Amino acid sequence: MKKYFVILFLLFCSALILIAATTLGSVSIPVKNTFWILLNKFPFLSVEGTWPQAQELIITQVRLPRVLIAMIVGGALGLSGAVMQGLFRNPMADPSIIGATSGGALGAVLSIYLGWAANYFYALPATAFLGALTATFLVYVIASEHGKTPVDLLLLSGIAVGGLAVSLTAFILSLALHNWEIARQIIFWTMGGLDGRSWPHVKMAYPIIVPASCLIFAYAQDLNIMLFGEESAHGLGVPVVWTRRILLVLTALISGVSVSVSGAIGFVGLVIPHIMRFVIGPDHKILLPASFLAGACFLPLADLVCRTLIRPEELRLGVVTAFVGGPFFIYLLIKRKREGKA
Amino acid sequence: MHSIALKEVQFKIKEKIIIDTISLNFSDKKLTGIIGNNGSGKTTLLRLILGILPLTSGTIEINGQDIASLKRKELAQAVAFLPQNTFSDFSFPCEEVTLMGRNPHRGRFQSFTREDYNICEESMRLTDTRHFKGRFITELSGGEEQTVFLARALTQTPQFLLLDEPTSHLDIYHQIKILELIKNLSRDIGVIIVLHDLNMAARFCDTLVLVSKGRVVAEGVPEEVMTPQNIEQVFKIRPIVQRHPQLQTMQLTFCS
Repeated sequence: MKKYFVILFLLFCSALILIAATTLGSVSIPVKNTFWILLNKFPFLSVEGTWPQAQELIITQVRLPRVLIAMIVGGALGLSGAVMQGLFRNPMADPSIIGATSGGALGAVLSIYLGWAANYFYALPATAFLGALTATFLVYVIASEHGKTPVDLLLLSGIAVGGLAVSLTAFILSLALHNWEIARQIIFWTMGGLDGRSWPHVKMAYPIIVPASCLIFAYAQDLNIMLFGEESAHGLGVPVVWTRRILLVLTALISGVSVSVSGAIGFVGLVIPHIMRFVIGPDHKILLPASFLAGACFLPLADLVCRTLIRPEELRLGVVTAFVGGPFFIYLLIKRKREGKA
Repeated sequence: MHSIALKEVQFKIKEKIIIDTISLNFSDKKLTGIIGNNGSGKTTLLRLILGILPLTSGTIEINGQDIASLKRKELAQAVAFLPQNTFSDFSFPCEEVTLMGRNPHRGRFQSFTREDYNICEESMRLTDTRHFKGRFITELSGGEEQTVFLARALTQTPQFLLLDEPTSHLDIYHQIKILELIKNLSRDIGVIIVLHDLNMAARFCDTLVLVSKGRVVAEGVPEEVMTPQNIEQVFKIRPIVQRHPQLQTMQLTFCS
């Protein structure tokens, strides 16, 4: 019962954060107005109210798409972290640590550099997905032996593949330096951020991430069973190899698409599922939706910090999440060392 | 009448022969022990029956149906498996663990029914694990944990139960308790168990299969299989075979 309460609580929080993150910003808008403007945007609801036209424009055209993107990206990263940690039976796995994010960024940068992104709207998410998928598979193949994925091998191959992707990204950047517009865009990806995200991005990310996430939720029980070991899962009728492949493709898809709209944002997938597992336990039937929702709460807040902390300048979102996530990761390593597990 | 039939089963890894042309029949309501030295192919045999490893040649049939034509879930409805190493480092409540046994019987988008919970309850009663409800699997001792996994295997309502050294990490009290439990279960379903402890195998099993180097050396009742010659041939050590003073089962002791 407590577990379902957590889900309800997180849903409530995400609604609050949606309002808070659209109200706060460089132009101050009263909460009351924000609430009515947002309510008015829901289908079948039309609200009789008065508010300045400029406020509606700022909320619906500037802040709302940005917050919605932050939510779906945070949700996708939180969810893919939870899935990867379950899949590898390893609390250190997350899309950035196992190289999926850097792989996705490399794919995105490549399609910017070659001009595909400018010509085809779906080229960017497609190449980001392919990059993330390639990186994930490489790490998986390098680190797995006999169906097991040891912690040290996973982290090392993640570092190696991620490092390779980062250096290739830097190589492309150095080629692009003579064209400042392209170089600027590339720097944007590598730092991660949500400025200038608008409705087309929302319309691209949601139709991919929402169904893929729902499909992942359907694998919750398989993930639970696989926590007890591969052979035991075989005996309970879970096709382990295929389940693993499907889940890797789906997580690469959602983290790749996330990267394509937000740039490389690290550590969300590591930190969020960890805290959720601490609160509600390892049951993926609750853990997966909870990690999604908690990610969807966290990233708009982090983005809010970016927008408001050092006004009129903006912090980079990837910088803020790394600032929170980096020390947390170090804390985890120290804790494991104390427990003699590292 | 349920049956598992291995027909000229062969399994190779690269060119190395692991299982060399084995034909065996396992029947219902019997406790069959597989014994043999390390690396003889005991565990491999179980993995082949479960379809975890692919056959190089030959066929394995369950109730006359080739396992290669069955889906994973269909196979898991007929055969439950308790592997040697089951991890239990995630804190699931014991009843949740047991309920996972219903997985082969339900689709991805179906939720558990009243019947599922009843079956789960019944297998917890049979294995005497009902008092673990509400406790986490991580809190239990090795022996207690194993009874919960046994309950989970029963919740699959299988026709056959395959066990890979279920007593290897347990003290003597839990060894005997678990094996008595398994013996009781074998009144209703077929049980195939890999055991290292020859005396336990002789005491509890109805039939024994002695394997070595991927071949069947002997099969039959313990009296036929546990001869000094057979044991010495496989384990390279000569036993003294006696009768248990009370149970009259075969007992081995070793001098060198």
